[in-house]
Amino acid sequence: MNGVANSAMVDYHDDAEIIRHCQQNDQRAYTALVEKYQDRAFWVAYNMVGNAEEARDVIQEAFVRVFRAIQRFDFNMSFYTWLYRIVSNLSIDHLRKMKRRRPVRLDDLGDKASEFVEQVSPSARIEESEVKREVHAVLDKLPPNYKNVIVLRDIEGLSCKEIAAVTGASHPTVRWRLHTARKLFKEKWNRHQSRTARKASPSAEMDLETE
Amino acid sequence: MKCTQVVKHLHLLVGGDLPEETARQSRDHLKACLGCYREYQDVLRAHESLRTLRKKPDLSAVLDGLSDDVLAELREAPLGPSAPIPRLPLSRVLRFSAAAAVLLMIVSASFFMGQTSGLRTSRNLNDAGTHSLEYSATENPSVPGEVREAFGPVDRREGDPLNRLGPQELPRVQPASHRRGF
Repeated sequence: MNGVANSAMVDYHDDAEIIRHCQQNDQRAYTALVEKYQDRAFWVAYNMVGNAEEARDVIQEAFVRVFRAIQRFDFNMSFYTWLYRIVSNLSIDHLRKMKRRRPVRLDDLGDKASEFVEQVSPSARIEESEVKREVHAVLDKLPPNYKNVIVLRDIEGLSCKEIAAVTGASHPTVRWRLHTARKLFKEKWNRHQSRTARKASPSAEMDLETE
Repeated sequence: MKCTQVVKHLHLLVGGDLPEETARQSRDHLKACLGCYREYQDVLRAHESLRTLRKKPDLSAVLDGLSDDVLAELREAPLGPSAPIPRLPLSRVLRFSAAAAVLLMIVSASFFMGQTSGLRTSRNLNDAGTHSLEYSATENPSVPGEVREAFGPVDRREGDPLNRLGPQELPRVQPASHRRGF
């Protein structure tokens, strides 16, 4: 951005300080806040929408909303809870809008993504990315609310209490949703695995059919 | 702890989301029950597959320039409290209005129908001889002529004589077909 100093040059103590600077329309503070949280926000969005380009759009929209409402920020709540809530809600809205979408995984992003995808050995990368692709395929079949708690708890590692703050649900509700979400995921995962195994060994499938 | 209870807890147990005491009891049960342990292994496998997504690559290439894009978008619209409040899309407003109109119609229709059925009920009760101040039984064409004659004309000051009777006191009158000798 023209005329904006690199955020690395500015040393902020904590989120509250950055937010106060944002409230004074300090653009370096905006940049600092985006750079601090963009990765975490991206993963929440990416695991929800299952598409890297759309996830980037979602978090861009989330940051824009955050900055438009930054004057009303409540310093009693943590910034990332607020950001996660916005990202989660935008991702759920996006999923509802885009029922049919073409999945663009990180592996499909070409040169950009290959820079970090190449960090591990090719065979291990293929195997790992295959498992991840399958997990994403199964996650995509879950209803958005259940998918959201699984992403926040099992992938992002938030506690149930934090998820309750993000989703606005009570702690027991979050635990119940988590239980149901994992149960659904397990059922769909097992079905997916057995289907994959059948595809891998057509003879076994034929045996089953003859039985 | 029973097997059914343990199986219910498995999905929370694998993620470490059970209270400590419940988790301890569940683990003790799993050590002793092979069936539940197998189910636990199954749940654990699915959960482990989810955890593969925890390993994340560096995103600097993908997210390069995001802050610039955000700031550019912000420059297009004013910041802070003067920012325009996002409005509901027109389609949603129309949908809400239509729903509200239908609801209003249903409420008003049920209100008027309730009034009409109330009048009908009042008439039915009158026919059965129940006391009513608002309806004159002697003027009611459904009350047989001889009953009306027996009680005479309505004295407006005293009210309808038929209406002063209790349900049991109403004279029993044969149906018209019987009286005519059919």
